Amino acid sequence: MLSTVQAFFRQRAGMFFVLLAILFGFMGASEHYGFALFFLTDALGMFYLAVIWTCYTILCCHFINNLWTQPEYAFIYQTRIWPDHLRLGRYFLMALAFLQPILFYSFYLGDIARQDKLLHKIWPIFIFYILLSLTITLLAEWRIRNPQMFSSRTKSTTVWPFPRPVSWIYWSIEWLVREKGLTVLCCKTGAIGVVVCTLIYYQTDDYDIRLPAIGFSLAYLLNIGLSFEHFFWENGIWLWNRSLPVSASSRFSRIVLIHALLLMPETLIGLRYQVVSVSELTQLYGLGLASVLLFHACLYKNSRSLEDTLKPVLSGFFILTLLILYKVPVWGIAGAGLMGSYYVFTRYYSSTHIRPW
Amino acid sequence: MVLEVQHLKQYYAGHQVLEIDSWKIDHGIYWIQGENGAGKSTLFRSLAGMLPCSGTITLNGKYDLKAQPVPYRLGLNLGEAEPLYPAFLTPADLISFVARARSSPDGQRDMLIESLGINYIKQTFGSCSSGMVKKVSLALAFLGNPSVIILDEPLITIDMEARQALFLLIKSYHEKGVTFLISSHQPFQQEGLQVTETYLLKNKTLIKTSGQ
Repeated sequence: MLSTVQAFFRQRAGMFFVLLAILFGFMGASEHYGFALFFLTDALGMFYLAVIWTCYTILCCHFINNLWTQPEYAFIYQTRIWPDHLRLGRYFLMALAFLQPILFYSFYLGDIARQDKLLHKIWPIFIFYILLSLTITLLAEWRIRNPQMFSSRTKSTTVWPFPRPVSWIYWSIEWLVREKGLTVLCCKTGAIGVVVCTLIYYQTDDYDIRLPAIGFSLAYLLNIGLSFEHFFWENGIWLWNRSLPVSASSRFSRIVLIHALLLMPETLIGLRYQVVSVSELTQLYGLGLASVLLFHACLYKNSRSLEDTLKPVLSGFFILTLLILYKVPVWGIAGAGLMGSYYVFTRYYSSTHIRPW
Repeated sequence: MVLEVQHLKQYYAGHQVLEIDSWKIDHGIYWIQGENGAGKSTLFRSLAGMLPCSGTITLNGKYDLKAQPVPYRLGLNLGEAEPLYPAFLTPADLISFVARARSSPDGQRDMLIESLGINYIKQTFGSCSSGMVKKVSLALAFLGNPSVIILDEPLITIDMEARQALFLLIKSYHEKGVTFLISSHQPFQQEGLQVTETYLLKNKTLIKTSGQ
């Protein structure tokens, strides 16, 4: 059951990422509030909400229906031998996991309803939630009772309308989105969340750049999972690329560009909020880029598991916080970080053993 | 000397795999033998610059792997024994990319695709057979203008037509001055290839077993 839910969020990571970009990038807090009030107070508000949620549930059902026809999911039909109550109970839990986005939005609606004293209007969402969960549960049960272990789909739906660019940078990001979609989603959600919280807090009083510098650094450092996956791509999946005639400085430039693109979504959201100036945001972006690049370069010095890197990252963040608090210019820290990461990379790229995966 | 190795030491997960004090080869076709796990692929990967190692490796008497990494790599190509490429890419993507990186001359790419019979050029690697992936890795090894081509177990999984095309390519490139290092558990002299010398990789070093 868990593998089905994971596969859904991994394969649909791109869709969720676009949704997050729309919800947090283009829509502000007042628009969110306006939509919530509409759902709660308009005569057809709850109907529209039900339609949107039903569409999402149909998407989940379609996914389960297709996934369980794949040969590698043939094992799922073994669940037919579980007792009925156990099987249906687990399908129900799986349905709840699929409907997590609905659950989280329900919390938000509940909070708005409490704040505006509209709690008496919220009861339909409980019924929707139960009905939609049961829909997914019954669909799963139907699929198990009607096994199909072949896919009738003959053509891939993910064919791009243009030829794939012959570009290392494009391939690297494509691999991250395709194969590590869940990591992309988690990292971006976390980073966007921290950026938004920082900017909201920044507006509450007259702070200087040091507050967003600490907040944004933390947000950007939440991308180390992505940076680590990129390291794995370069040195595990694509070890052979090290035999290609590309200089260490060109390789470093590629790494900088890939990281610069990866850190762009939360930066654009920071720009959209118009709380910090463009020049300040540029410094914050440079600082974040330098921090993540330094982490990435250090992987070449001493490749290890992601868990083992957390302690040095926390220590590094503590030191960075002290530097910021002691009014060392943000652009200065960013510049030093970029130069340091270039030095570490070129020093260790061709001399240190990479841990075999 | 085309390729010269001095004091090469290679470790894999803390375990020493190679310790070659001195090894030099001139133009020719060299057969590198060794039992499974002897370190042939590790040697080839070290020579290709994929795995950092201690010691010096010099190509054509002037390009040091560490001091001149780009010209060195331009002059030495590796075809891996069990190539692994990203499943979402196609042979066309990869061949174009490597052809550009290795400054492949016009027409070379199409000639290799045709002669090795790479038919599913637009199909992703994830849906290619192991033989097709192997053919692509062989095509990549012949791209550009290398002085040395290393072929690690080039005969596994490929069909008879590709095998014959491969030997024709080796002969043709060898006549143009390219040196080959070939590892294979199957003999290939019956295909008309004149092996210059045979080396056995044993006890972490290369031991000459036969030669002209």
